[in-house]
Amino acid sequence: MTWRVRLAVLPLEGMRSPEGDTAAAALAALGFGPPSGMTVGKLYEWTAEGDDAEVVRRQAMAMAEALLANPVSERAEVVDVREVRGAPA
Amino acid sequence: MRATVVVFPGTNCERETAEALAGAGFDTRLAWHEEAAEGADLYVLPGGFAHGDYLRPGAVAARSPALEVVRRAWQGGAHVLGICNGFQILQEAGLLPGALVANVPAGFRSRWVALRPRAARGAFGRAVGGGRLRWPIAHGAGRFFAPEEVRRELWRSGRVLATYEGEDPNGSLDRIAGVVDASGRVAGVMPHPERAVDRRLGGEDGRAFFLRLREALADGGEGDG
Repeated sequence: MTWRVRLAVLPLEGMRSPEGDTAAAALAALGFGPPSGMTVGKLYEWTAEGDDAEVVRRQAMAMAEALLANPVSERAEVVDVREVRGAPA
Repeated sequence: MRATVVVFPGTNCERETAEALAGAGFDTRLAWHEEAAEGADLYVLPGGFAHGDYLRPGAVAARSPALEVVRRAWQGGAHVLGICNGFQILQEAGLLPGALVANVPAGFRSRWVALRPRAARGAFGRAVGGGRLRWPIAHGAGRFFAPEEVRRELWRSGRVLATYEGEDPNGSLDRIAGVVDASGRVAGVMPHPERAVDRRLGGEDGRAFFLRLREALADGGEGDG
């Protein structure tokens, strides 16, 4: 089966996010009631093969541990694993 | 004393680093990362943007074969110094503690900073000396970050190499500008000693650092105590 995986990598909870602070300040200047605790990270998206979503999810977290996230300063979470129907087997 | 400066795609401080080392009496060579070999007494990972800083600064270089060469050389007794991006690479490789994250407040800072040596162990502690230093910084992600228990251990075990004095340039926790590892043979500094080797550049505190480093390595890599 073919899956589309999305993995988010964000600063650890409670860490200062200067990019988030800058975005929040700019949004406030545009008239949005200033969002609090805004943080900025990365979203990785890719296609994977696997027998079920859980296997694909575990592989995504293993990829985060190996390279995509630095556990000293970041947290990784799988946003979703969606089956791609009609994809070639 | 043989020094190897490891060059990755995107490294941009290798020439001035090699000049500074040669000026201090090191037999210095530049090594493209795919050609880095064991046999040097000192490996220096210079500043720049290795592999474009993609993913995170240092993340890709840290997982390259060149770092395995550096790791084996270190295990064999060599010393390793990371400057700026090189410091980030050594952390990503797990050779130094903590992470260097985006400056607070946000922004790239390029200016001279004052540093206070913190009597760290080993050759690198001896190299920074005991007096206040002026070295330049040039970075956007130089904020030293590590959990409190890690920082407490760094202070307790004499592994903080230097801290920033005066105006805070990047929001580093405990104002940490450089650290050494548990062996005392791996060091990382965020400011650039190689850019402070001549009065015409604005200062020469970095020249003294490289001279003392060569002396310390010639004495067997020991610090002052």
